[in-house]
Amino acid sequence: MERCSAGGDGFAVVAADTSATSSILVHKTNEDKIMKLDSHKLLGASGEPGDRVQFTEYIQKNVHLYQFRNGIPLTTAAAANFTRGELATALRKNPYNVNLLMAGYDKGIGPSLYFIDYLATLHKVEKGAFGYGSFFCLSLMDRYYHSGMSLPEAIKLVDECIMEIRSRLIVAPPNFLIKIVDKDGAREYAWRESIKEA
Amino acid sequence: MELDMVEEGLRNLEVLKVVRVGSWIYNCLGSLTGLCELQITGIKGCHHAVLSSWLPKFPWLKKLLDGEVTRPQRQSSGGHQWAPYLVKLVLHNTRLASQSVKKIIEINPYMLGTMAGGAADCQFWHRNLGIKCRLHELANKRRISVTGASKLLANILYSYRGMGLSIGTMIAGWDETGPGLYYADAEGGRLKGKRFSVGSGSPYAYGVLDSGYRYDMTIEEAAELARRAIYHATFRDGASGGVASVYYVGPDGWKKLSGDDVGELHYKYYPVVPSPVE
Repeated sequence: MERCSAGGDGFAVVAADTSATSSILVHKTNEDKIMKLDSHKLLGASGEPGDRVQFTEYIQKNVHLYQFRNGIPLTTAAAANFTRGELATALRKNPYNVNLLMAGYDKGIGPSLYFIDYLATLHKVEKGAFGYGSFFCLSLMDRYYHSGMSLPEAIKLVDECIMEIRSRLIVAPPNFLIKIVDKDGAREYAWRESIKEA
Repeated sequence: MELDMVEEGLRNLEVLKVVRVGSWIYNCLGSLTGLCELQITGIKGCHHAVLSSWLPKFPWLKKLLDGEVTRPQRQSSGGHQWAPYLVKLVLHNTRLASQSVKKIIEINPYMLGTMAGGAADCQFWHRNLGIKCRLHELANKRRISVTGASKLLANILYSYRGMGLSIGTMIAGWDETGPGLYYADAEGGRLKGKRFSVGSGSPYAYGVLDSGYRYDMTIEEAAELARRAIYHATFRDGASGGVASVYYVGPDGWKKLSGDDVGELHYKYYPVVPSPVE
């Protein structure tokens, strides 16, 4: 499960691998692991398959519920803190084994990125990564990221991270999915496939 | 009585007879113990497992299990070794071993579930899913979708996560949006896909399935591919076997296409060719 993301000038990018595996078996190579929480929020998740789907859907439904009840959407910061709270509450009883990167765009605040790990650690960051691939990507992003990057520059950086994972990680996932959030909303940006799922 | 017959049969072994005797032995042993199955096929180089505790009781087994059988008549002319025969002595951990377990469970007339892992768990929870699907139909006056049914099952399995359920299943069905195939397991994972293979022999089946698969296959081609994949998985995996059932799921529901014993399939795909003996 590899994911990395970066925030730039008015947008945030989240990229994730798309393999669903079970020990040595790859069940599918086009699994979407970046959930759209609402029109301007993305939640990229990695971890145990059951936990990942159940927890992200739970957060998505609760974000919707807030909007239905109160008539206005949650800010990214509020959603991130809510998510961290849920993880923390469950941690000492029935922990969710999921690592999350939440990206969102708020009017007036701009784009933001939150790093939430399975122990309910929460950090607001400019760039983040999870998984074994993070060993390669974090330094790449440290070197080449600067605030105020344009979208093509940011996508180029993400592509470089993906190439690095493909060439250096022992069992690298073949396909990746890139999604972005900006003032126009959250949407799928591109697939980076090296195996076409029949 | 049965043991005497088996020894008699062994004494007069010939190539094709070994195979026939093999299935005979398997039947005898099966009836004696119900605990194991013995498969003998004339292919070189396949793995075999020996349960050493059997040997003291049936010492003549050792001859077969060592993989070499010589024809008594030829022994005088210098004797020759035959190619080692595959002998699989497969111990079933379950108390009742059966070759006729139905591994495809009919949830309702247009939805099927496959069984891998624990038989009891799969049967029970599929039956439970069938009940929930029927309740949905009654409450909503329309059939449940495959997405919905698989989500119901996945949520139940997720709530029992870590409590020792052993289920790896695929839910296949037809609803308003067309065909649907979902994979669900006891860890709570649920995946939508176009082809899956589940169980201990699944990597072997994936190999055959992936290479022969095309999206635009005909029904007969697809059924043959499925049968072939099951056969190849059974060939290599000791814990797979029995009957390969193939079902077709279409707009009018499911239909059973075939249920072949995998042992028979072996002779169909690799018929014994008598070769000249040097």
